[in-house]
Amino acid sequence: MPKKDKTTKAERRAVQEAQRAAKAAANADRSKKSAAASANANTKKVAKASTQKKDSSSVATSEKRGGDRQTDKDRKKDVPHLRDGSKKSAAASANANTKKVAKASPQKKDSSSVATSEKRGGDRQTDKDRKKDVPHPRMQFDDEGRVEKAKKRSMVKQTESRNRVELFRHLPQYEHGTQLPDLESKFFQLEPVHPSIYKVGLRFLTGDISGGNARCIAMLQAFQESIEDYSTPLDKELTRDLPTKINGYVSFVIQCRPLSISMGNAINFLKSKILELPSTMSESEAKASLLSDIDRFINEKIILADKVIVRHAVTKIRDGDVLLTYGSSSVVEMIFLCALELGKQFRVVIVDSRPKLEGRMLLRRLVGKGVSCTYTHINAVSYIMHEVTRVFLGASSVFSDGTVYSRVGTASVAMVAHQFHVPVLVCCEAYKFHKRVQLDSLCFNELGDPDAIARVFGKEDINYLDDWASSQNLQLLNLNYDATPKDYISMIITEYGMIPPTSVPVIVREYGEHLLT
Amino acid sequence: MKRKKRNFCLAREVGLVPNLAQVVVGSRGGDFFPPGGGLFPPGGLLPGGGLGPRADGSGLSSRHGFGPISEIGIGSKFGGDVFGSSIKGNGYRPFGGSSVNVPTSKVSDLHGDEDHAPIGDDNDGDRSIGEESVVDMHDYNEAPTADQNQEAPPPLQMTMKRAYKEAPAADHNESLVAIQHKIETMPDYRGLVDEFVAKLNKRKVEGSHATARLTAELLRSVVSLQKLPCKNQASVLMKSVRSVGVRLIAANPTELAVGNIVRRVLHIIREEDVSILTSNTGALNLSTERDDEEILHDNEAVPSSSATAIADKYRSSLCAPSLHALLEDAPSAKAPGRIYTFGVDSEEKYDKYSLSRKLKHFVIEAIKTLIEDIDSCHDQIAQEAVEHIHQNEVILTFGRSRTVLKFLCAAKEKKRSFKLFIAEGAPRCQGHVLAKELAGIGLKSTVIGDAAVFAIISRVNLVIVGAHAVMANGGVIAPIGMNMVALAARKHAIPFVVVAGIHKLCPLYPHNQEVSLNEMRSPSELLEFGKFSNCMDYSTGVGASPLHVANPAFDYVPPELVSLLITDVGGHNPSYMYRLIADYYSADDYFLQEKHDS
Repeated sequence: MPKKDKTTKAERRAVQEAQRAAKAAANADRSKKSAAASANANTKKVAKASTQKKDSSSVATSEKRGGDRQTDKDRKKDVPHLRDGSKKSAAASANANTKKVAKASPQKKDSSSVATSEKRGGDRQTDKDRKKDVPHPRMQFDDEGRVEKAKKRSMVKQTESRNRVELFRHLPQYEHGTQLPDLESKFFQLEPVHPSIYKVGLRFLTGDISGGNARCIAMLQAFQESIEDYSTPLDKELTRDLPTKINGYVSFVIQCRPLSISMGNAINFLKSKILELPSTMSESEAKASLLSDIDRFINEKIILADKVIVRHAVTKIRDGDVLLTYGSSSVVEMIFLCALELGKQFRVVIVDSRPKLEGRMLLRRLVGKGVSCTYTHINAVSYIMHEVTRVFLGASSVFSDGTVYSRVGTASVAMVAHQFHVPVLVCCEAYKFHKRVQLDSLCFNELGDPDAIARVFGKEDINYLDDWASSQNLQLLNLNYDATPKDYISMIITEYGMIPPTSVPVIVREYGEHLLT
Repeated sequence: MKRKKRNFCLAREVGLVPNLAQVVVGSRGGDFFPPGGGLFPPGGLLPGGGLGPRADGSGLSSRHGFGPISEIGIGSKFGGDVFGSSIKGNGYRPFGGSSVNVPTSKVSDLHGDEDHAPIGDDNDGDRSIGEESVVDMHDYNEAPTADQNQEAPPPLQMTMKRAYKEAPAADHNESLVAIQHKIETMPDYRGLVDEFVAKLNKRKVEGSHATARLTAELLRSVVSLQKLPCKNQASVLMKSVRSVGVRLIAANPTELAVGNIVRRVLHIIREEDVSILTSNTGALNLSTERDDEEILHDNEAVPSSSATAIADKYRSSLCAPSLHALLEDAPSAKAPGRIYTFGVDSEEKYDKYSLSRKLKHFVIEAIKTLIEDIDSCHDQIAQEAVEHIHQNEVILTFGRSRTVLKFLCAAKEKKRSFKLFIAEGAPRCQGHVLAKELAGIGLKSTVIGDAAVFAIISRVNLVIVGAHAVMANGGVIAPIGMNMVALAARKHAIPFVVVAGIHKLCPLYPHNQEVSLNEMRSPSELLEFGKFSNCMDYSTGVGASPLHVANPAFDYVPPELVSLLITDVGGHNPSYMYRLIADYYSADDYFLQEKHDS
């Protein structure tokens, strides 16, 4: 079984990597190391366990739903996986289960499938009939019928924004902030949503929490709280009921703000964990196991990964360097601070852009720490690039074709850096990698509040667009992300090492499964 | 008939000047002359204010006439309080000698008003005086072209009015005596120049179009106010224009339009000089003579277009020497600059008097055409619009440019329907204004952030932008952020079209353009000072401030990234710019500063 060998090798490598990282971090606290190590051991065990019981579980599920047309299909598609005997089938069956559960909850069907497909991206769905059965990976907002249906189901009332941009009809364009009062009024009726989820959703909505890692951690912690408070209804099983709950939560979060790819991956992880729980486990045990799994994910995939990335990246900073960064990335900030602690002599150029102006916060923090900073706006990037020696960028996600999906403007910065022959280093944790491929920044994106474009922060005299919505011909477009082609990227720094963008599919392939264990 | 009229006007001008000189001399005859007159070289104080035959080379040369006066202009010599001094100076100074034309009653009026009005305030009394006196100015200034007086006044009037308003600040620290001196010795246009320099310094003039126009108007007044000796008129005129030009350029080196216009005026003077020379002295060489004879005939019919006609002739002769000329083996393809040097050296072969009148007049006419050209450049460029925009096109533009606005409007008027993406152009966000204007005329426009340019450009067919200046290599100095747009357009193989009036065409090659041709704007456009002051406190102990804010105004787009440059003379490749420059400038004028020093 060569395939199996391969996976275990990869597994071993991951463990080693994690251990190394743990050692590095151990300077600070020893306990963490043991935790990580034991977590890794757990990982292995659970993985093995899942391989063993996968057949039975998937068969069991399909039997339960016997007679259902849907189940037939699932079974059909499960067969090749079973024959395969590889670990993949475990994941696939888990996936199938999720899907089924999603179907089972009629209210949440659409949105939950959006959530699931977000991370899965149809990656393992090789069978055609299955594809047909599953709704389109992402909600396409130009499909009016579907939008109508979704609206009826949605618990968040949103007003369609005026003057929608034609090119982006397929993306949701809602009036910013209109959801809030409605949600507030519903506070005591939001029966299906746990208060902690509600809180996180609102904070996403207002932009209180932003940044890929912060959002992901906040969401996972909210899930933790909700799991703590969860109790299985009498006539249901935890492995059935909890995922539907989670799907409900996810759809709520999505309505507040579309999920990022990293969050999708995290949700996927959680769901697979739930489905892997042995049916023999008691409820309290199962909950404890889930909570520790989530903790482990946060620690291992985000916090430790960041530390490893910082350690890698710092080696790329030499004395006298001028480092440019765009927007505000938590990893990049950690890299700068780490380099500062190591006593390296360097200067930071912070490039910022309207309307978010996230760089200001980063600037404030770095200047406060005593880093010498230059602040400028994205238009001046070709002016400043002459003196820059390295460009450090964060990413929201990295696709398997090497495209980096990140804050809008990153592509421009990378392009100019490429033009000036300045190396571009993208720092991104591996849990943000995704199998999807994307050619441009339009097919999949997130639209921000158009009014943010019209308002010029700190300058009340620029108010030409105050009444923009009254003009039929005038539209404002506030894109949140863009896709940087791989040509502009010299290196992607992950916790698995520093790789060229062409090697992203390798990471996705080799380590992708470990995200789910 | 027209010819006659012009002669009459010229006579009037000539008649006026001696009068004026007398008045000036008369007023100086008193005891106003300060004992510290050693400031002025004797040459500058010749009776007649530099009008007589002896004046050439001394009274009007920039070295003598200009240098010391500029010292006075600074006011350091006379120090004193700024506000509590001679109001009389206000009336006199901006106009120099010509202010004598203002009737005394008006001057007293002025005094009264000024007493009540806060200095530099824009109240009505102030304005009315300005206008009245301006009318007088016109009689003098515009005398040679009196037939066009009705249409020409507004711009000049504007300038003069400003002169009035701005004058007090410069004036109040000077004693009456000094002012009297200035009236006598300085060239008359100094007040205007000072005022414009101050405005350029303070960056009060926005946009290269406005700057170009104002520069041309200023140079027109310089030319018309410049007193000319009998010989070497062109060189005297050029010297004064050049010295003014050097000052203007120094006031705002990044506004290349100033230098462009100065060079074009110099070129005009050269061309006019050559044309007069050739017509007067006869056979200089075959082709130019023939051209000029034709032009002389033209002049009889349409005098106002003489300068352009000559310039055009030269241009055409420069572009393609006629077969006839080639066969004759005559040095017909000589650049006008070369011929010009010949012209300077040849002396007194011709009637100085008529030449004086002619040269000045023709130059003023030509500058007038230049101003008209500048005014009409938007429309000229807009005519090309339909050639480049097709139905259902998606166009991206960046920031705000009036040329682009006109261009797009013209296409819209021709019933083209297309969509627009407008990048806002932070930090000034002028794109918002453009978007509003375009949406107002019914164009579908979408405003995007500058950061989203790369994301959107894959769906765009054409990028049309304005420019700040076009360099000799075809590179473009443009508002900040343009290089990014051009690179993105190149990445997606989308045509990057720059529209720019010919007055933005600069005969210089960019070198180290990020620094030398750039301007750093206030950091407060990016960061509020107050918001970061608490951060700054940290650093005071450390020493050097850890926070820098870079807010450059301009970007350089290399010619490789520009697909097409559309000017008022049509669309061209960036690589063709050097040729257009040869048409509009003469090579001797490329470096104004150097010439001035040597």
